[in-house]
Amino acid sequence: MKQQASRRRSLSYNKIHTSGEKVFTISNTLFMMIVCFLTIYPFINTLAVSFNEGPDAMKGGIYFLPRKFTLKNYAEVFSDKAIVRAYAVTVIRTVVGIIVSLFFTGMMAYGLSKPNILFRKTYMMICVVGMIFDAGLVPTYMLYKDTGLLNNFAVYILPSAISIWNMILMKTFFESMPIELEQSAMIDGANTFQIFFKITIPMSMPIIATICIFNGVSQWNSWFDAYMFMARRPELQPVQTYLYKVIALSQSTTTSAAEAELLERRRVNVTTIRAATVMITVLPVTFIYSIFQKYFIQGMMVGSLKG
Amino acid sequence: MRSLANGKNPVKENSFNTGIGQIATTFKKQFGLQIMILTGLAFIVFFRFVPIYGLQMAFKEILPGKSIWESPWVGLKHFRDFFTSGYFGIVMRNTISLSLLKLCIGFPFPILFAVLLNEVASYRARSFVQGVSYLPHFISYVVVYGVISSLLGLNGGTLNSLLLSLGIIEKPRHFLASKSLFWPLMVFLDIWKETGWSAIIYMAAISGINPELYDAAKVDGAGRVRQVISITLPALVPVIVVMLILRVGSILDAGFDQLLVFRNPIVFEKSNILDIYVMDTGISQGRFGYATAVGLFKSAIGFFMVYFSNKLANKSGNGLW
Repeated sequence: MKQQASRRRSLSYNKIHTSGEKVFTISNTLFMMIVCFLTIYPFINTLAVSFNEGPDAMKGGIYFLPRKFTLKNYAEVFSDKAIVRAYAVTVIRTVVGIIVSLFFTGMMAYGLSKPNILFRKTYMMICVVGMIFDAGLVPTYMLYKDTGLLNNFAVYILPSAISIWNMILMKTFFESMPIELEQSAMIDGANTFQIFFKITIPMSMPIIATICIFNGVSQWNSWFDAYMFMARRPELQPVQTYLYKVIALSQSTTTSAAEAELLERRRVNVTTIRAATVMITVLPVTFIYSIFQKYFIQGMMVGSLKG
Repeated sequence: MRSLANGKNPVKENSFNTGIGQIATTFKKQFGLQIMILTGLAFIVFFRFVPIYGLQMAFKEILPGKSIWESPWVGLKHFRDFFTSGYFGIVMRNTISLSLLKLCIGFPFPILFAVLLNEVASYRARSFVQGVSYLPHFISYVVVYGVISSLLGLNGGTLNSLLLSLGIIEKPRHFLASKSLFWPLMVFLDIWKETGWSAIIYMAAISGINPELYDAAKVDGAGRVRQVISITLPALVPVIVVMLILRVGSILDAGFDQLLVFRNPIVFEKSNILDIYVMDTGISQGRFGYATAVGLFKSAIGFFMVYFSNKLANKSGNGLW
């Protein structure tokens, strides 16, 4: 990033001398400010609503700050056993998902990064076809049903154990690494797995951080797989799926008795409680995102420059 | 010799002698690496290729209590049913229109954003805006709905309050349940969520432009706008062409998870796209054969579209693989 900054053309001593340029600079700055505002404002608004009293929020008019401040919404969210359990499921599936996916994807990428590996072309072709061909929802559902993955925690982890796209990103990174260290380790008698885990992995932290973020975010955000393949075991559904069910409920016209009860319980405060649930779902992502931002931007740049 | 695998004996491996014995020896030597690859490949084959056996459902009538294999063949019945049903026209119209709308309106935004962001002089301001612009990419549409509904909701929605207090509207409007607003809203949210992220590839291309070009232009008296038009945009053309081709390849993806979250009974006919139709008929109504046929129709067209668009992109040396 720094290199890039120094290699950039210098706009700073490109003195603004014509009125046209002044207009351009001002309107451009204005445009960027509007973009930032439009991006952030919905979150600020939801945050304000989540700290407001429920019945009062229904009157509307909350823009930036809560009108009647309360922590009751969060207290209610955290006292709801279903939400807390769903939150735990989210955290567990994210952690397990990251580790499993990194392990298998990394190993495969490492193997394929060696140019003289036997059947390399065939392997890559299988990967590419696998990436673009989608058998469809129903056949996938049938496979999970036939193999016992349906309503099983493994359905969160195993299908995403290899992400072909991430594998290609990692492979590109490994290919650009110097191999002298690996060669000398091999002369010292280390085997492939020792080299991979003791030498290659420690030298690949930028790409590993990138892949971890991608996997982590996609695990954290997944809700459709749980909705579709975990329908019989709602206690194993993550918080995003819980949120989806609350939303779908408030939209549908017909509801079953059990659903109606869930809805009734929250009717008074439905807006504010939903806002609080949204906030506890989105804050960890935002937090981790802002810490690791620069790593995955580098990773993405490498990937997209690959060409 | 860059390879670790043949580091010990490069000459032997590069020879043209590729008999079975030779292959076996090489394989043995690469055993560790091969195991690493094959483990991963097993996952890919299992989750991406094994489901293909389920595609036979598209040509079968699945009877209750019978397995896929035992059910009788019905030929192309499901496909005929789909093409002649009233849904075919609606579903295809929705899928392609919405997808095209997102493409035509949404595609230029990341380019514009990347170009304009590049014109921001301060490095810190630039990285700040960039960081903010990616954020929506990292949240799911479920959360987007949660956030947007507090803005656009009927009771206590912020936009309604604002418009009411300004006297623009008389009574609250239900923005999320309006047939005419549904597509514009979906297109807008798609732009809102993905512009920053899609701009990355254009930023990368811009950062590869030789700064001397700008210096030369400045000497010739070109202003900032002139520099953008004559240097930055032409340099982006190859990337734009490739991104456009690849985007056209996925024309049948109109945004499954987005519509799944945002649909409601009022906008039902506007939100019924191929993916949603497959889910409704297949999983909800249990018409496995029929839904598989519709899904196969989509997958087959999608596969060839992506395949050929990538071939086209490769002609300019920028395909995905």
